[in-house]
Amino acid sequence: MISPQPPYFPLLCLPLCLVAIAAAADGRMDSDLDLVLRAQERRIEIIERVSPSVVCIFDSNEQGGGSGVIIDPDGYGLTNYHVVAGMLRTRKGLGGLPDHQLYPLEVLGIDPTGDVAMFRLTGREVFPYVELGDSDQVRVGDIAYVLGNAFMLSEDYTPTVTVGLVSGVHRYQWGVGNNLVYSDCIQTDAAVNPGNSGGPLFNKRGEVIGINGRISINTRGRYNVGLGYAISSNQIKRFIPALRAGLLARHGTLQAKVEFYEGVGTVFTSVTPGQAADKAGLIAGDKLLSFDGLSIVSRNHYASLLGTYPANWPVTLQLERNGQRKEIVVRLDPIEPKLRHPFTVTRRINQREVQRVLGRFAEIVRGDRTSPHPTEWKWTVDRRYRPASDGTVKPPQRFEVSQAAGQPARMRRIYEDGSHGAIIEYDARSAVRHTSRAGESFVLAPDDAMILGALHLIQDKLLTPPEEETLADVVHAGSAGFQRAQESRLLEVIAWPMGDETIVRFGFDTETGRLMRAVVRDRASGTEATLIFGDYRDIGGLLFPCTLEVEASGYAYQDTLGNWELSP
Amino acid sequence: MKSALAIVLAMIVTGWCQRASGGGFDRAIESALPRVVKLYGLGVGLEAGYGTGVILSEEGLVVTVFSLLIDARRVRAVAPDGRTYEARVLARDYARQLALLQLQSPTQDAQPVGPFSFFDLACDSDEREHRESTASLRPGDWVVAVGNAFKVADGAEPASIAHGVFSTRTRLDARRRIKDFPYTGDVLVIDAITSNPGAPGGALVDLEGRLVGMIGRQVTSNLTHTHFNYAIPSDVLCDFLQDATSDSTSDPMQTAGLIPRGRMGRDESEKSFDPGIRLSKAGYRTILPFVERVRRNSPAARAGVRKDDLILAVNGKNVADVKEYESRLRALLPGEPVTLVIRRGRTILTTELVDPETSKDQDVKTSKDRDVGTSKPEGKP
Repeated sequence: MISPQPPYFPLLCLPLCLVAIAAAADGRMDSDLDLVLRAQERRIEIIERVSPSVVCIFDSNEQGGGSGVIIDPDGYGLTNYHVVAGMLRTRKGLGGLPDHQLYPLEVLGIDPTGDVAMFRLTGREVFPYVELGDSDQVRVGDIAYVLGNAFMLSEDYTPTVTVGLVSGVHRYQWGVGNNLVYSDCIQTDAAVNPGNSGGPLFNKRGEVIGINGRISINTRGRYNVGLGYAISSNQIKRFIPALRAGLLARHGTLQAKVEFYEGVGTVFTSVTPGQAADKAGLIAGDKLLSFDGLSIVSRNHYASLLGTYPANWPVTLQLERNGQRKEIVVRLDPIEPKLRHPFTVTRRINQREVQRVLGRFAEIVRGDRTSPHPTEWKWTVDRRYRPASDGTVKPPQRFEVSQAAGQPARMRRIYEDGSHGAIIEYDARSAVRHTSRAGESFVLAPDDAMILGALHLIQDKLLTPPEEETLADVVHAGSAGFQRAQESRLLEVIAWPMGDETIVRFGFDTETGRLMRAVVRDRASGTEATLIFGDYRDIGGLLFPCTLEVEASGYAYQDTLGNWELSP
Repeated sequence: MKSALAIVLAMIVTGWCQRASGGGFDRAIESALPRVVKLYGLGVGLEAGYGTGVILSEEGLVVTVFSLLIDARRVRAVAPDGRTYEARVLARDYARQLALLQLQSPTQDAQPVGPFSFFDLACDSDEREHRESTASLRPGDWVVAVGNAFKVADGAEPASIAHGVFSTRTRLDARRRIKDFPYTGDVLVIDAITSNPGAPGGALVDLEGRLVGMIGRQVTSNLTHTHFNYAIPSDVLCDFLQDATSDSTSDPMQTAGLIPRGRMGRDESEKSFDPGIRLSKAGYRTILPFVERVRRNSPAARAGVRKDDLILAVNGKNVADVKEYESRLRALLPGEPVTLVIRRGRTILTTELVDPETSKDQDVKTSKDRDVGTSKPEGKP
């Protein structure tokens, strides 16, 4: 296609073009009308498809309220924090759907900084829902649909529909202190009015690209003057796991100030000592060229990008200092939102999310395996040590590990001559650790015990969907603090106590559902070991990680797991 | 050959599809965004200190609205690429409510700036593109407005766009707060909301991306008090540009006189009614409409209104404060008689004010209604 046109092409083409144009012009009226009618037909189809999932939100007295949108069949939905802020004391409200029914609504997690909140409707087996789209694909000039309960007009809970264009992307709107900051928001000229707050902004395919929550107002009054702002779906996605778990989501900050800079980029004017940016080596006077791979065009642009990241997220900054380019990675500090009442995590809500994450992991591991969960596991471990700080490398080791249902996990070393070492046992039930060598019993080195304990937990607990309430809690969702500096995968972290002394924090990838990390911590000694799972493979119908990188105080090694024997 | 034909056909069809499916604004947006500048200048009270300008030449000639903004000692203009320039005022036209700026280097080094992307109005050519585009604009045609509304965009961020349809070409009977809006020429009325701070001076383009007008200042209708969304047509911009650049020695303010008389003058009766009363400004939060001064020979003077009278009602409707009084007055139709209820000391009076311009022959009446001091509240102890 891109090869140069032959020189005769235009000459030959011309008459044909004219014919084509003339032919097209003749039929123009009809085909134009057809196109418009077809576009209208499509628009109506999409609005009919997405409308059932748009919620009219009322507080318990049916006084105030706003809008919302359901994003999964269990009734989980998104709205604005400012819509539910008044319901936080009771966490109760009502949600009306276009089926003309009112459903009980419970407020789950909140993100006051980003003005987002999650709720759950109950009272129906399966709720209609819509998918979240990719807001980074939104372009200025795209068609956008706003659905919601504008001016609380709807008596039968059917949403008001307005249509417009995307007027701007990556907009930044200052908040009230640390609350209600609209970062990287989408600006639209579709009418957004009071009551639309919390409702969805759809693209032409009917995907949610934002949650409407803010408008510019003129001296005329509090209503639409052609500038509405929606929180972008990609920002919201980073906070959804925390919101589902009923947590208070926190945004990240660099703890550094920037000033207006004329031209491209922005300049840091001050850095708070001892905080995120300072720790990463940023100094006042540094010019910011790019933020997480994106060139910065203005101060607004920088604030807009920063505001979309959760606390602890690692961001890569490209700086210019004294004419030299420099790249640093900063782990963002949390921003504390201002709340009128302390926000507490409801255990019931949190448990639901624990069950969901664990259930999903079990499902992924089991795949389409129909046979029952194996009662006995056996595998070998090839351990290769990383060089220690003094340069010495321990020789590789080989172990044999076995795990039977209801039994302690056992591990023993296999020497090069084929002989076996002592059996190391770990019993999660009693949390007693010991090794037995010829009947003798002594305390196991804590690191090994912890690692074995975590493995035990994975096979004993994580692989079967938990049926009753667990001891585990979703404690964090975002970029987990124990990830490596450069990694910015979204993890959902479940903390699970083993006995009284050890706690394991499991990090599940929110996208794939896979277990990526585990940090085992001995409360008494304070020692910690990080397990990084990788190389998921099919093992007798199960998808299981076959490499295990371990980092603990003083040593690091990589285990390769193999020779699996599962029974039955 | 067949494939070439197919490609041509495909191009034509996809062009139409885009038009119908909404992606058809692309051309307009791509044309307008690189051709507007964000302006930052003087802001006083309700006057926003920011606005928009349309680039009209490669060297950085910018047209914007006549406003307080450009009276700043330094007017800053931010080009679409984020670069900042200083904008020097070349000409002001009060009658057309337009101003012409020249972008220049902020360091005053007299270096030429640019080249900029610009809208070519082709004012001096015989076939004026703008006239064509404005003339070819039919009611119902799509238009896109691009501007710095609410200064949402900063630095190199692109300005905001709004879409709508062209409604009609007409003249306005409008006002800026309590003052008459001096521009009496034609405007393009649109249904996109552009009556917002910062938006004036923005570009209005058709679907082909041609400049059809420039968003005008925020004004309200004298009749309905609603905000107008309108643009100054590009042929008026052209007239202004020619006037402003043809004779650089003449005082730009003089260009006001260049608008044909017929367009300029409105019927005297259409002016809002001035009773000749100046009200007291003393008060906190609520300023009661106490008369401070009555102009000699004014309708109010002839009706017998005096200093220290308190105005209670206009045409049967109570007025609680100065604001309400003024809005009632503004709501009057031309020639509509005005009846004021006044409290003077302990007396309540009704007076009828007559606009001398509309009905010179009517008598001025003052009637004593009732005496507050002597009337006792009934039904109460």
